[in-house]
Amino acid sequence: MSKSITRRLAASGVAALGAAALLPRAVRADTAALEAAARQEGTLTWYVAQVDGETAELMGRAFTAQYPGVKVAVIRTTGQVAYERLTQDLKNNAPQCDVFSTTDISHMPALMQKKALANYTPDNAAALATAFKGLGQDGYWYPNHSTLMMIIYSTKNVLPEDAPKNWPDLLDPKWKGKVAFGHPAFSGYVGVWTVQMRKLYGWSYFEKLAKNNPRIGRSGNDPITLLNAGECVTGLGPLATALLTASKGNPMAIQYPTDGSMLCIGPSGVLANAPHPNAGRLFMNWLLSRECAQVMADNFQTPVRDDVPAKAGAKPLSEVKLLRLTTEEIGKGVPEVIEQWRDTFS
Amino acid sequence: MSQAELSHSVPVVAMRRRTFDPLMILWVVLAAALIFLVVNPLFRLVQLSLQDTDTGAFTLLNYVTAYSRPRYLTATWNSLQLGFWVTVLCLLFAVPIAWAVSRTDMPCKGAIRLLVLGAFVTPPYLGSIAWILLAGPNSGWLNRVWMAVTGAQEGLFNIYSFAGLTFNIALYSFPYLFIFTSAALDVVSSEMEDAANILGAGIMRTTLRITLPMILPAILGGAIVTFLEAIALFGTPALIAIPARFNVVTTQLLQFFSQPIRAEVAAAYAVPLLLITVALFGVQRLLVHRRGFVALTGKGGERRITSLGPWRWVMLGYTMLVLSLSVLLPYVVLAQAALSKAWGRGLSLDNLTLHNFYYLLFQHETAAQSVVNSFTYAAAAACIAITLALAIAYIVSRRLLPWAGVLSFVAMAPFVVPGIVLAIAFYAAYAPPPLALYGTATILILAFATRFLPIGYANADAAIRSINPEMEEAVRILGGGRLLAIRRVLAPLMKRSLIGAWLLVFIPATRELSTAMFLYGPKTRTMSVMLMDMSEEGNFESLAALGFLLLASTLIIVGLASSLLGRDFMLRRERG
Repeated sequence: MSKSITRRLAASGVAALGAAALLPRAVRADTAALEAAARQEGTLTWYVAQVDGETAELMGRAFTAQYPGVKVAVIRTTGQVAYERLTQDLKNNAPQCDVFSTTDISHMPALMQKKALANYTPDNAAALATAFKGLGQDGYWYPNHSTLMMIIYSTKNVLPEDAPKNWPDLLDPKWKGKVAFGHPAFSGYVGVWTVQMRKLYGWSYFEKLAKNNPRIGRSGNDPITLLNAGECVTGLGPLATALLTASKGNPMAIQYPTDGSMLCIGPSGVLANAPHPNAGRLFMNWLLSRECAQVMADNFQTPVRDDVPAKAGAKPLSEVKLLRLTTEEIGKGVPEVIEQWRDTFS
Repeated sequence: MSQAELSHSVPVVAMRRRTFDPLMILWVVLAAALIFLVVNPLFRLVQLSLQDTDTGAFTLLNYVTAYSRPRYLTATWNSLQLGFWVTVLCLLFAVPIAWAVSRTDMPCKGAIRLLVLGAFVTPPYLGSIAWILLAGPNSGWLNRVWMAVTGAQEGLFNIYSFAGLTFNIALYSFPYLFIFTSAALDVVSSEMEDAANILGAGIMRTTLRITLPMILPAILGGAIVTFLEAIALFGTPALIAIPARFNVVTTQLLQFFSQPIRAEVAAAYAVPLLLITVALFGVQRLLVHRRGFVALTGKGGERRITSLGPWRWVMLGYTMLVLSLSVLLPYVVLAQAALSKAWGRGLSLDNLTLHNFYYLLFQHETAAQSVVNSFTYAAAAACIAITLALAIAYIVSRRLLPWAGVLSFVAMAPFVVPGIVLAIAFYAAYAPPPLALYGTATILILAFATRFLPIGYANADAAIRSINPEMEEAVRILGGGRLLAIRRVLAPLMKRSLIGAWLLVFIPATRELSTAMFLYGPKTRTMSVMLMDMSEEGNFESLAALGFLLLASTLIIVGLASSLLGRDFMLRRERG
């Protein structure tokens, strides 16, 4: 073991005792040294909201397969719940999380303000696709996930020509009691979509929606399950999970809304007080790696790198009419729409 | 004062005069433990509710915030209604069944006891997942059958409704009332019933006018526990009330913990809940005190079985209906989901798989750990609760020290604290420094131990009271010390009832969710929390499989313990 690693390990031991300030700054050593130090730590905790639980576990196992001896404790929950957990960890000065992967991009500037993110530039950051470059804050957090929130429908119950074509179509009384959504107070991506709808159609969109007696779950993935079960027939869902489900033989189809699909960006960062700073950094680097992009692509997630093609089934982003919001709009809008949502739907 | 008490208080007084009584140390230790576990957290809860979020200055604003919005008030009102109707339903379920099992010649009693045990060990949130699969308005099994049979366009049942929530909670809360009622029925002797019979009263009249009033205190106690359970539940409302789009107190409390975290407002919101439960117990005391119930001597008399004639089949039918809804149907539908690739595809060979179990046990990084966590924490909590309860009960029942009654009162106090409120109190008291127990196993174990301390105490107390102090006094007259008497006489006599009490703490602790929800950390996730996380994205296949793992492990432990005891621990009291 080289001296530098020992020093870093000692530093991490101190950090684990709560002295986050003593962390090595800008750990950009070569990957081999990082890997050895990560192996010493043996494990890392990943708060993740971006993908469904099964895909998250799969990613954790893929990482461990590539770096034997470093296990990933996957804590999969919705974006807002993950962020609440993290804030409580920070407030109580009881660090648990090493890498934080959320679905509400505005969490990251908020964490920056609290100086909660570690300064780390992953080698793989350079390989991000052009569309994603500069979306994060270099040296601290990076976009590692993207998906489209779009209209999904069950092919067992809805003919393609009858499917909703745009977002207001979901207000049609013919879907009464059978249209499914996630909850913005839980899901980051649903929150982003809600802000976008308010911007396009005003809050009256949701007042009309309430009359349609929608089924509201928690996660953005909830509607997928409700459609598979036959409980609902259409709704709002993430592209990747919808395609993955359809590939398993479920009667699921997607519809690109004519008024635009919601482009959602999920960022990740290493925590400044991470209990496993090296394993965390190695994992952060891996999240932007070709190998990870391949695992994501295999599970119908949109890769954030150019060198891994997306799996067939989705249109290239360039051919899709996209809706997108700035980080500021999201940061300001999401807390507002959560309150409004609760007043309208409870 | 009776002679027995008089005779044994003399040496104590004499001893105290001679030297410092070492039992004083025990008293101080116990008092300290209770202050730590019960008094301080509740004190911190009230204190927190009166503090400004930023400055910590005294304020009443949190109460204003907590009760200023109609939405928040509605949630409280919903919870009170929920508690009331669940209690009513549970009375309808539990009391007739308990009576039939305890006092009539209804057939299949053994199977029924086993099924009630099944309902008792089923976590309520697992039951609600089963009921979502059974009574989802468009896709639930029952609704699909209804639509197929009648050709109706819409299903008959909607689990996502207030009625659905009430019904679902009642199905898994009634065992409490069953236990209370049947325990009382088992010790009330038939002498008075015989008297009524001799004077010409029929079965109905005797049951309603004689038996029922005698067990009324026990039923009332059970009803209050049921009410408290219903309003303190978190899992079932999260699964059913959120999609049904109404709030109850517990889901509202969770909202105060979302961004921006308003623990102070949550505390303020929780305090009235505490007052309501205290008031309820006050009412119970009043009611119980007004009635003498000397008939509950626990001794003598004989309990005769009432012959129901053909009605016994009606009783059996009703019992089986309740238990099918609570246990049989849900487990069939859960088994189907746990063994399915996609449960929505229904029963077919190509849909069968063991993958869900394999995934949880061998592929999932944290699921197996959560199983281990649940059982370790529950076991540790049960040990702490029983040890404490036993020591306090002993001091109280043998009147070894002054002020013992205070200990007993404090040990029973957590009974009136809903689990979720207790969790917030623990969070307020011990999550921040100096103890900084946030996210540790310790805080979960301590909170579980506190939450179930009253169960432990009530059982330990009953066990000790059932043993005549004369036996210990014999040891002491022969020159043995108190510790020897405890070790060689008391402990062996109480072993069995203590295992029973341990289990009564252990089982609810393995499935406890409302307390764990606020106190867990990523490494201390319990199975209950894990199930809730999985339910978020509606992963019912893995969820059902995890539910089965929980159930199987619990049943194995209960089975082992029951064979140690030589009887089923909760459903039958030894008859005096």
